[in-house]
This record gives sequence, C-alpha cells and structure tokens, in this order.
Amino acid sequence: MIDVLIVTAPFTYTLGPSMAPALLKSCVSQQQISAQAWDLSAEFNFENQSNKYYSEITAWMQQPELKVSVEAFDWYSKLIDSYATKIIEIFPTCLAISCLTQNSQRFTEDLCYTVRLKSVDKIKIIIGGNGIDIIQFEYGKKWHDLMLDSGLADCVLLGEGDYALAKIIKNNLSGLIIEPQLSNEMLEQLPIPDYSDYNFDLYPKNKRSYWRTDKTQAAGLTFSITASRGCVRDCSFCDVGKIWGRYRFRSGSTVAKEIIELYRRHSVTFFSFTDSLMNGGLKPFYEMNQILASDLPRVINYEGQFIVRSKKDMPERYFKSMYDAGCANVSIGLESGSESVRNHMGKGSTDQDIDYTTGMLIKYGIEQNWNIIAGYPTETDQDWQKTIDLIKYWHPRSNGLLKIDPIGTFLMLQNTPMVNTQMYKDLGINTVNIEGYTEFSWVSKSNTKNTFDVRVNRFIELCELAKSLQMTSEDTDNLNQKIWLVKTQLEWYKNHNAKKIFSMSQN
Amino acid sequence: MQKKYSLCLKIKVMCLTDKNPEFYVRLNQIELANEKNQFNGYPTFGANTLEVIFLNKSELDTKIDKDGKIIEDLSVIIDTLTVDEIDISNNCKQYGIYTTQNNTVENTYGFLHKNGVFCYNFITPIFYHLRNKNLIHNIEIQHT
Repeated sequence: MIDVLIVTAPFTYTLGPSMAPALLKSCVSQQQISAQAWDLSAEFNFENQSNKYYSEITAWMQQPELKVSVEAFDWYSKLIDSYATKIIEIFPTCLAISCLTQNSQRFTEDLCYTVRLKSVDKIKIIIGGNGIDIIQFEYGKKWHDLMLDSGLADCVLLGEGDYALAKIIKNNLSGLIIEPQLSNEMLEQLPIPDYSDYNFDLYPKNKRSYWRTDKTQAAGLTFSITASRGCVRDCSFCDVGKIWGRYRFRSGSTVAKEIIELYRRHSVTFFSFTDSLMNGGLKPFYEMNQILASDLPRVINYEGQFIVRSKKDMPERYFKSMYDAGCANVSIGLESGSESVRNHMGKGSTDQDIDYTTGMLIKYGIEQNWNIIAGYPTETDQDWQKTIDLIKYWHPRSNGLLKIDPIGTFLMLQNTPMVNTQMYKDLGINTVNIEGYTEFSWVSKSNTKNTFDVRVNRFIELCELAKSLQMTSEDTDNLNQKIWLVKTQLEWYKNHNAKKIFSMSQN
Repeated sequence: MQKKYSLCLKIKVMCLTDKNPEFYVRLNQIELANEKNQFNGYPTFGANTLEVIFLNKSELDTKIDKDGKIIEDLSVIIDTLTVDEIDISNNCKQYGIYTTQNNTVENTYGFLHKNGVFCYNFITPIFYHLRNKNLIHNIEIQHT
C-alpha cells in the first residue's frame, strides 16, 4: 500500500508530462513517504480527445454555465467511474489532487464524490493547486471551503505544496492548511521531478510546444521547468499576484543543472517554462542561458512566457544568449497595441520597448507569440485599431516568427488588482451576475461603448485576422472552438437579458 | 472521519374543523420524528430518498360552496427543505414525484391533496446534487 497517490485533474491543456505530480513525488520521497504520480489530466486528454463527447465535456469543464447532453454526461460519468475504480485498486492512504486552474473543479468534484462513494472514507482526500481559491457566488463561499464543508475533501492545501504535502501526510493533518510562500532558498533546494511512474508513450511526440506552430521538429517530449514563481509586475487584470505573492526565483545554475539532468535521464530536448515570465530576474535568466550555451550548445530548445523590457534593461547580449542556449519561442503578454491601455493595465512597456524587443527576437530567429485581450475596460475603438495596426505592421517584417494568441474577451477575474478596488470604482464597473458568473458580462460607466457584444466582435476580428495572415499559434480547430465559445456566451448573455426584461415587464 | 449531513423539512397542514391530516415522513426508509410539523434527519453520503406519506384523506374532506369553490380542504404542503442549511425547497417541489393512491403521478409542486406518497430523491453533498440538476441541457435555452 502506498502512502499517497498524486494526480492532476482535468481540464488542463497538456502537451507534455505534467510536472506537479512528479515534483511532489520527489519531494515526499525525500521524507520517506511512498508515492505514485499519475498524470490523469494528460491521460484524460490523450485517450479521449477523439471521442465525440470530448469537446462538449471539456467545454463544460471550462465554462460550467454551458449545459451538456445526457449522452455526453453518461459517457463522462462512466469515465469518472473507471478512474475512481483504478484509484480504489491502488488504494493509497491519501489521494492528493492537483487543481491547476478552476477548470479542474468540476472533474475534481466528480472524482472525489465517486472515490468517496466507493471507498467510504478510507482514502484521505487532499486537494491543492491554484484553482481552488475561487469564490462560488451561489453558496457565498470559496470552492475549497465548499469541498471541505461538504465532506468531498478531507484536507485543503492553500499555497505551495512542495514541502507541505509531506507534513500533511506525516502528521495526518485535516482541514484547511495555509502554507506560507517558499523562500528563494527553499525553491533552490527543490529536488528534480521524478517522472518514473509516467508512461511517456501517452504523450504526443509531434506537438511539442504550448505556443509554437512548428510541428515538423524531430519527435520528442516537452518537459516543464520552473525557474521562478510570481511576477515582477502586478497587472490589473491578472491574478498571478494573488496566487504566487511576491516574485521568487531559483538561481540560473540550478535551473540549467535541472535541464541538463532531465536531458541526460530522459533524452528530452524540449522544455517549456511554467514561469509567469522567464525574464523576471534578468541575472539568473542570463546565467542559465550562458551555462546551457556552454554545456549543451544548441542541443535543447526551450520556450516560455516573457515580458517586454527596455533596451537598457535587456541589452542585445541577452537575446544572443537566449539564441545560443536554444530559446525557440517566447509568449509575450502584450495584451494591447495601445500604450495608454497598457499603462492602465500596469504593463509598463512603451511602444519603443515593443519595437525593440520584437526586432531583437526576430533578429535572433526566436519565434514570439503575442497574447492579445479584446476589450480592456478603457479600450476604445481607436485603441483597438492600434492593436490591429501593430499586428499588420509587424506581419511582413517578422519572417513568419510572429504569431498571435487571441486570449479572449476581457474577464473581470476574482483576485485581480482591478476587481473590488479603487480602480474598479473609478471605472464604474457594473457586472451582471448570471447564475453566479460575473466575469464576462460587465460594462464600465466611463467607457459605455465597450459592451460585451463589442468585445466579442473585436475578439472574432482578431481571430479572423490572425487566420487570414497565417499568424495563428494554435490549431484552427482550437481557434474555432474559442470563437464558438464566445458566441455561445454572447447568446447565453442575450437570453438572460431577454428573460430579465420579460420578467420585469411581467412584474 | 465521515461528515454528518443534516436535513430539516417543514410541513404546513390544512385541517378541517373536525379533522387533522395524518401523515408521516421517512428518510431512507426510516421514519422521522414529528416535532410540530418539523422533521430533522441525517442524510447519508450519496443517494437519499425523502418521502412524505399522506394517509387519511377521504372524498368528503374537500368542502366546496354552492359555486364549486373550495372552502375547506384536508392537505399536506411541503413548506421548506434544507440540507446542510442550504435551502432546496424549490428543487424538492419541482423534482419530487407525487404518486397518489390511484397510482397517478401529479405535479402539484409539493401540495399533497390526495392520499399518496411524495418522493424526493437527492444526493449529498447537496451542492453537488444542485450542480448536477442544473447540468443537463434543457430545451428552454439552446446553447449549441
């Protein structure tokens, strides 16, 4: 009997082996706790994505306001039952479920319920991850409290679990456990993830990157690497500050050592950074690139998220070192082509900085993806046009190395600096609560033309532009599904408003 | 340790001047004590069945005036149902199945006006039950 089975909960976008179970296994093993790691989220995706109900169920996981058909739910319920049966067969003392985002909540509820039903209360259920600290408006409490209060989970781990999981298991802790942030020193001492339980045949070998479109590279897996946690910015729309607190990082030499070790152990040559930004700490980033360039010159490739910096902060030698170390792609949170919108966001990047960074990345042959959000609260038609113009300007100058990631319409996410703050009041944000969901159906009194309809239209315009210029970073199917989702949301929103007006007229 | 769930059902009754309704309430086949028409019980994890059984209505117990309007009636009414302090009265009245002694199923939204059994199936945790009830595509709003 093993002490803990660590699983990932769908829905997550997975291309390579998920790091969380492998890292946690490595951490608890150091404390003489026996563990098994199961990348359930990847298994769910890769073994079922050709099923006719897969899209319907994964759309619901990401947007629970959508309804599903009886047939799809029946298929999904049987799948949950089979996973629960497998867990019961393994019969660990503890089941630890990692919820990467709130998209993992529906699956986790179902898995916990079914495991409980089958095992009574003989398996202790621990949940953790970034996706659990979210308010459920219908019940007036956070999702993790709902899970705890309802008995679906025995223990909730809020915060970083690398060292805390062992403590919970060893001391048989229950209830809500809040862990303080790890320090740089503690991050530095984290072991290398142990992937020995993973079946690497599960993962696609031709789809290596979260952001790259190039599918012609040599076959191989994509492994995750974490060099830092948190972000050096505190952008108004982003909840990373709430999730990770202050910015912390590992030294460049430690990160490089981990990449080299994983390359030697598993012959893996492609790495994807989980960091909110790889170049948050310029010194360790440069150091890592220097070591990789020296020890494995152009042997491995890597990708990750990146922020635009000025020429002064990031002179050309940084870009050269990235190239020498094998940097293949960066995903940039550009968000808008309008400097005034970016200033309001708190991005801190000028038009000049964008020109410089874009040019440098093209010069060194590093592909870049721009994340673009449609309809930031202060965004006017003129601001939006600047975004479109910027893309059109760089398209012929990018040697095909610039791709566009249409992120979606602007969402008023909980736990972001904008929501329920002075900024929120100043913008006069008015949200419409539709069956507990408030994120997308908002309007700002200071920019009333920016309605949900307008945001949806801008988003579709962006998707169509990216498709027509062949600048899409993702499969056309994925992009089409995104368009379908926002259209569905809009329809749902209009239905809700129509009902509300009908109800008011009846009263 | 397994969590203990709680249930509280409140019933309203309509009496005649000389007759009170006779009924009892069962949760998972176990009769619950009647404390001034309030019933408290402990659902188990997973599937549960709540039943309200109305026993003593006769045809003479519905009194009508010369215009055919009901002036007195013997009946049992589901008032409120909470599980773990979450009010699920509407869900109970909407999805409960009321089978009368004639074996007909009537949709009276928790109003028991004939002898029979009102049966409500639910699962705990109750938030999970409500989630599943709202999950399946209905014909009122077409999303796809």
